[in-house]
Amino acid sequence: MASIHPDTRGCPSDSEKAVFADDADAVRGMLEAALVLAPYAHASVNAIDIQEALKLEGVHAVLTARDIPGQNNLSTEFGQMPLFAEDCVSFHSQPVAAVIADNFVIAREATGLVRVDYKPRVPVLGIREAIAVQSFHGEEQVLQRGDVNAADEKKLSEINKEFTVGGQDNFSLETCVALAEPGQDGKIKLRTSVGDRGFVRRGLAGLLNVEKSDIRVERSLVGGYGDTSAGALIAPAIAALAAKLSASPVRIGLRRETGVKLTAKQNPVSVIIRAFHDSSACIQSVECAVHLDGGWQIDQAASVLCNILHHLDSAYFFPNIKVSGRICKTNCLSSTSSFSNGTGIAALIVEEIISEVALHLKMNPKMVRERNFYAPGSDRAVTHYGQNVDGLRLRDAWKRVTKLSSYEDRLREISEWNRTSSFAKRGLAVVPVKIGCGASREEAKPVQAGVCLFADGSAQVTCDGVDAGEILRRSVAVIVEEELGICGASVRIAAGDPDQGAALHCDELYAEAVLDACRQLRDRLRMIAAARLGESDVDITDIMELKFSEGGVSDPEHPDMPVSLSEIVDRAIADGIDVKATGCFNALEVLGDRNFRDFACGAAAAEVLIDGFTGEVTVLRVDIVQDVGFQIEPVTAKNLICSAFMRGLGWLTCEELQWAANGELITGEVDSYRVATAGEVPRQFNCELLASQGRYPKDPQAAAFCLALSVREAIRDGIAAFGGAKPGLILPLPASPEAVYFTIETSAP
Amino acid sequence: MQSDFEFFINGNSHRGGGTPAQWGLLDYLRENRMTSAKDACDRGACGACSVLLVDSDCRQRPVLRVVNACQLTLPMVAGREIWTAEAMTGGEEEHPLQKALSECKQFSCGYCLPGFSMAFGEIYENPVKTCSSGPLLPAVGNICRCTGYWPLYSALNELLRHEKMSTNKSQAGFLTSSCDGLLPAFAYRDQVGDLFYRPGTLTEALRLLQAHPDSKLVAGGTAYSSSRQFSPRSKASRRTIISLESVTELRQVAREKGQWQIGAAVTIRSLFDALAGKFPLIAQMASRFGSPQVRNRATVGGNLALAEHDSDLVPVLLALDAQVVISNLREQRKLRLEEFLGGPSRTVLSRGEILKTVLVECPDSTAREQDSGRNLSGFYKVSRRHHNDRAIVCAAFLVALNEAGRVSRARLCYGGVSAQAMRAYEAEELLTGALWGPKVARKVAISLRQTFPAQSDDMASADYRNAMAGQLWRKFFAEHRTPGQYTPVDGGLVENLLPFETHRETVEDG
Ligand SMILES: Cc1cc2nc3c(=O)[nH]c(=O)nc-3n(C[C@H](O)[C@H](O)[C@H](O)COP(=O)(O)OP(=O)(O)OC[C@H]3O[C@@H](n4cnc5c(N)ncnc54)[C@H](O)[C@@H]3O)c2cc1C
Ligand code: FES
Ligand code: FES
Repeated sequence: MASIHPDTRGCPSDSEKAVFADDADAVRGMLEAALVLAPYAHASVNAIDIQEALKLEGVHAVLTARDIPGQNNLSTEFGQMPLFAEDCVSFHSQPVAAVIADNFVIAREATGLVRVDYKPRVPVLGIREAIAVQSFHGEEQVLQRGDVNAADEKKLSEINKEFTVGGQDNFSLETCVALAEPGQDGKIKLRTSVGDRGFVRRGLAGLLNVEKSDIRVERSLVGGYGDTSAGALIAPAIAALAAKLSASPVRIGLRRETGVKLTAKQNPVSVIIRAFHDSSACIQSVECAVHLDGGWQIDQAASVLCNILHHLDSAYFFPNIKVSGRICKTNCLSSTSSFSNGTGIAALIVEEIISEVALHLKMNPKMVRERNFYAPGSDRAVTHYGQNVDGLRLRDAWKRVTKLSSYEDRLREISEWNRTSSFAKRGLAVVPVKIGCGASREEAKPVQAGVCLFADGSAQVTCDGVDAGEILRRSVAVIVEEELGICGASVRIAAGDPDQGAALHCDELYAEAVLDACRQLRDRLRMIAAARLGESDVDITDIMELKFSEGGVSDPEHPDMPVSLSEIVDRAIADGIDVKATGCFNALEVLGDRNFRDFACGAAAAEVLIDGFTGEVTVLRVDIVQDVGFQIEPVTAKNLICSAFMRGLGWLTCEELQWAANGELITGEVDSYRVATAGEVPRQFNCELLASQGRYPKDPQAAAFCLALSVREAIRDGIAAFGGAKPGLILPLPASPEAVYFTIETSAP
Repeated sequence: MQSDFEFFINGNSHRGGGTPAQWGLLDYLRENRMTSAKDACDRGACGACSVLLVDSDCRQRPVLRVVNACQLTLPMVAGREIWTAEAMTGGEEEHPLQKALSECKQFSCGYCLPGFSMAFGEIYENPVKTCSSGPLLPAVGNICRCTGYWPLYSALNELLRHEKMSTNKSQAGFLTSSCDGLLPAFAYRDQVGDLFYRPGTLTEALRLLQAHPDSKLVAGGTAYSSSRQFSPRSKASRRTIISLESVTELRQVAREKGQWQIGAAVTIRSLFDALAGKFPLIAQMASRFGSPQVRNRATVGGNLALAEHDSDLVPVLLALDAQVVISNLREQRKLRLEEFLGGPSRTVLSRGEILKTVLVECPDSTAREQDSGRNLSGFYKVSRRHHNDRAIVCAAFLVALNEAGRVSRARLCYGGVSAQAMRAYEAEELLTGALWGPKVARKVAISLRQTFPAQSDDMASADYRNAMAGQLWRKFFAEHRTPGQYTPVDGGLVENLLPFETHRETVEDG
C-alpha cells in the first residue's frame, strides 16, 4: 500500500499547505457581501433603487449589472450566464444585486433596503408546462437501431409506462464561499470553495475585464466533489468584482440555503416508455422518450442528455431500440452533470422496464435480467450506437455477486420468512449495470503529466488535474510507486498549471499520462541498470524483463541482487540522461470511432426490510461486485464505491428537491434536503472487485451510483411481497416512507 | 456584573471580554484560527461544527459531551472547558482517533472529519461507565457527503476493538481530576450593553426575569440559537439572556415520594442516562430524538416550553401522565402536562414564570398493576430518515391491563399529526374496560384515523399523517398483542443487525 508523506496529506501540493478556502488566515478589514435575490421565477426588471441601502451605516457599495467592468457574463465551456439579472429574471432567487458592507449582518440588512421594481411574468415551471408551450433548448436527439414498430406484428406483449424521475442536489458539505484580495498591480487574489482553479479564472476574466493571468486563485481543499456549473462561479465572481471595485478585501459566504438556490442540479426528467417482449421475457424492442428539465439556460444539459441516451440499454441488449430526448427550457435552475452524469437516470429507466416485464410474466426479475444481458462475442454484443461491448465482464460480476450474496439461499429463506410475517416483508434484488467509461468524446482532451526522479530514489509528479478529494493524487502516487518501484513515502505531487487541467473526474486520463511518463523513464534507465547489474556479475536474461521494485532494479532470476534506484538515477544524471519525463495521453486518439473507450460494469444484490405499517425501509444488506479495470489500490476503489453507492441511495430514498408553486426551492437547508446519515447505511455492506485487468483503472463511481438501484428494486420486491403488485406499478422517487406506504396500500389486494 | 469572563479551549485560557454577548462559539473558534470546526448549516443539523464540552451528568459527575458549536453562544461556555479537533492533531502524538480518521480522508474531502472525530471522541474519551451508548447510534448527527460512512465507522470500530478503554479517565486528558463539571453563577455585560445572566438559584433566576421584562430565557439553547441569526438586532433594544444552566436544582433527576422529579434543565441525554432503565418509553424516545449533539444540549424544559407540534418528548410525558411544576416569585403551581400545553406552540407559562420540574410517577408505585395485569408501552416515530430527523408522526402508547385481561387505563398520545401534540381521548375511551384483543384494537385504529385535523407540509401529506395515526397504533397492537410478550413486527431482525457492528454497552442503572 502506498503512502503519502503525512505532511502532504490533505494538501493538493507538497509545497503549499492547503486548507479549505474559509479556513485560511483571515485578512484584516475584510468586507462582507450579501446578495439581493429575485422573488420571482420570471419577471422583467424595470428599475433598481439602491439609495436607501447605501444610506445604511456600514454599507460600502451596492453592485448591480451596471457596475461590471467587462461583460455581465460568467463563462463556462457550456455557455454563459449573467452574474446579475439585468432586464429579466429567469429563475427564482436569481441574484439582482449585491451589497458590500462592513460585516455580514449589515450587508444582509441592507439587501432588504434595495428596491427592485419587478414586473412578474408567467414562468414555465417544470417539464409538463414546457412541453405544453413547446419551450425547448436545441433539437431533439435520437439514437436508434432496428425497427421499434415491427414488433407490433409479432404477437408480442406491449408495455407502456410514463413517469418522472426526481432530481438531486450536488450538496457538498462545504458551503459556497469566496474571499478576494485586490493587489496593487490590478491583480486579484482569490480563495474559493470552487475546486477547479482554471475554471474560475476562465469564468471571471471576461466579467472583470482582465487577463486570466491577472486572477490568482489560491489552492485550497475542496468540499465534496466540486461543482463545474456556472452557478458555482457566483460567489467568487461577487467577491472578485467587489474587491476590484472597492479596492479592499471582500468575503462572501453564501448560507447553505442561498447556495442551494443558485447552483445547478441534476435535474428531473420525464419518461415515456413503450416496449415489447415475448413470453420468454426476451425484450424485443424498446422505445423511450426522455424530457430533461434543462432549466433557464442550457449549461451541461446537453451532455447529460447525451449520456442518458447512450446508457438507455444499461446491461441489456435490445434488438430494436429507439431512444429520443429533448431538453426543456424552463424557469428552473440549470442542469449539471453531477457525477453520475445521467447514467443513474438511464439505469433507473431500464430497470423500470425489466421489472414491468417480470410483473407481466410473474417471473423473478433476475431471470428477466439474465435473458436480456449483452453477450460479448455473440450477435448480442453491439450497443444502439454501434459500439461493440467485447470484453464486458458482466457475466463474471453477475456470477460473483450471486455467490457472494448467497442469492439463491437467501431468496428461499426470505420468501419463507415473508410467508410467516404479515406486517413486515423483506425484499431482495440483484441488479447489473454497464457504464461507458473513459472520458466521453466531449470531455476527452489531451493531457500531460511530468515525472521527475531524484538521486535519493524519490520522485515528483507534476499533474494539472483538478483533484476533488485525494483520489487523483492517490492514484497517481500509487502508479509511480508500482511502475518505478519506488518505496515508502517518497512520491511527491506538485501542482501543475490549473488552466491546462481537464475537467474534474477525468482522473484516469492523468493516470494514463503518468503511466506513459513512467514507461519512458524505465526505458531510459534500463541500460544503466543492466550495466550496473553486470558490474555485480548478475547474468541478465532479458533487459526488457528487468524488474523495478522496492526501490531497486533486479533481474527476475536474481531478485536477491538488486541495484538501488538511487544509484541508477545518480549514474543517469552523471551520464547526462534526462531523469524527467513528460507523459501524454490523448483520449481522442485512443477513442477512434468509438463513443466510449471502454465499458465498466458491476452488479449488486440488496436486501431491504419494509415496515408495512409505516412504509419505512431499512437496508439490511448490500453486496457489490465491480469491474474497476486495473486495480491501483483496492481499498481506494472500495471506498469510492461505498461513497457513490450511498449517494445513489440518498437520491433514491431520502433526498428530495421540492419547489413552491412560485418556483422557489423550499428544501435548501441541511435539515430539509435530507442527505443520508449513518442511520441509512446498509446494515451489512460487502464489496468485491473483479480481478485486476487491463492497464488502466476505470472510475468505479458512476457504476456504484447506479448500483444503488438494487435497493430500489429490492424495495419493489418487498412491496410485491405484500401481495397484489400488479403490472403498471410505479415506485415513486424518492421512496420515502409515505411513498412506499401508499404504494403498498394501493396495490394490496 | 462582569465585563470579562474566562473559558478554556484545548486547555488554554481564553477571555470573552469585549465580545458581543450574542456571539456564537463557532464564530469565535473560527475567528481565532481554530477552524477544525466548520460552519455548514448553522442550525445544528450537520455536526460539522462539533466540539467536546465538559459537562456534568445528571449526578453531577464530569463527562464529555459532543455539542454543535453553532448552537452555543460564547457566554454559555463561560467558566467551561471545550475541546476541539485541534486537540487531537496538535501535540507530540496524533490522537489515535484522528490518525484513524485521517487515513479515511485520503479518499475524500475531509470537511466533515473534525466533526466526526469529536462525535467519536465522546465515545472514545469518556470513561466507560458514563458512556451508555446502548441504543444511541453514535455520530448520526454528523453528515458526510463523500465517504458513505463505512470507512469512518470501520476506523472507530477497529480502534475500539484494539484499545483497552481506561475505566476512570479520558485517555487524551480531556477529562482530568480538576474537572468538576460544575457551573458557577455568572453575569456578563458586553460593550453595547447586552446582558447575559447565569444565575445559581431558581429564585435568583426569577428575580432577574422580573427585573428584565424583555429578557429571554434559555436552557440548552438549541431553539434559541437557531432564531438568533435570523433576527438582526435592532440597535435600539438591549438584549438580556437568562440562562438556566447553573441552576443545580433544575439539572437533577431525583426520586421522591414515589415520583421521579425531572429538573427542567435536564438534557435529553441525561434523561436517557437516568431513566432509560425505568421507562422503556423514555429510552425509545431518546434514541430517536434528534442527534447526539442535539440530545446533549436540548432540555426537557425547553422542549415543553416550546410545545412544538412534532416534539418527541411531549407525547411520552403525556402518556406517563406527567405533571409540571411552575415557579414564579410568589408561588409554585402544579399542573397536569395537558393543562400546561395551551394550544399550538403555546403553553400557559406567563411572563416571569419558569418551568421547574416535571413529575412522573415511579413505575414501581403502580406495582400492583404490574403484578396482576400488565403494563404495555411503546414509542413510535416515523420520519424521513431513521435518525437526525423530526417526526412526521410520533406516538406514545401506554395500556394497563387488569387481571381479567381488560384495559384498565389507556393513554394514546400523538405528536406531529396536527398543529399540537394531542391525546386521542375517543380512542382511550373505546379501550377502557374493553377486553384486550383484535376487536377493540381495530375499532380504535379506525377511530384514530379520523381523530386529528392533520397537516400537510414538505415532509408529508395530511393523508399520510392521518393514516399513520391509525397505523402506529396497529403496529403497537401487533407487537403487544400477547401481554408480556413483545413480538417486534420484523422479528427482531433490525435490532439484531446493528449497523457497523456498533459496540453495545448496557444502560447504566440509575
Ligand atoms: C437540529 C435539531 C433537531 C431537533 N430534533 C428534535 C427531535 O427529534 N425531537 C424533538 O422533540 N425536538 C427536536 N428539536 C427541538 C428541540 O427539542 C428543542 O429545540 C429543545 O428541546 C429545546 O430545548 P433547549 O433547552 O435547547 O431550549 P432553548 O432553546 O434553550 O429554549 C427554547 C424555549 O424554551 C424556553 N424555555 C427553556 N427552558 C425553560 C424553562 N425551564 N421554563 C420556561 N421556559 C423555558 C426558552 O425561553 C425558549 O423560548 C430539534 C432541534 C434542533 C435544532
Ligand atoms: S454547522 Fe451544522 S451543526 Fe453546526
Ligand atoms: S469527507 Fe467530504 S463530507 Fe465527509
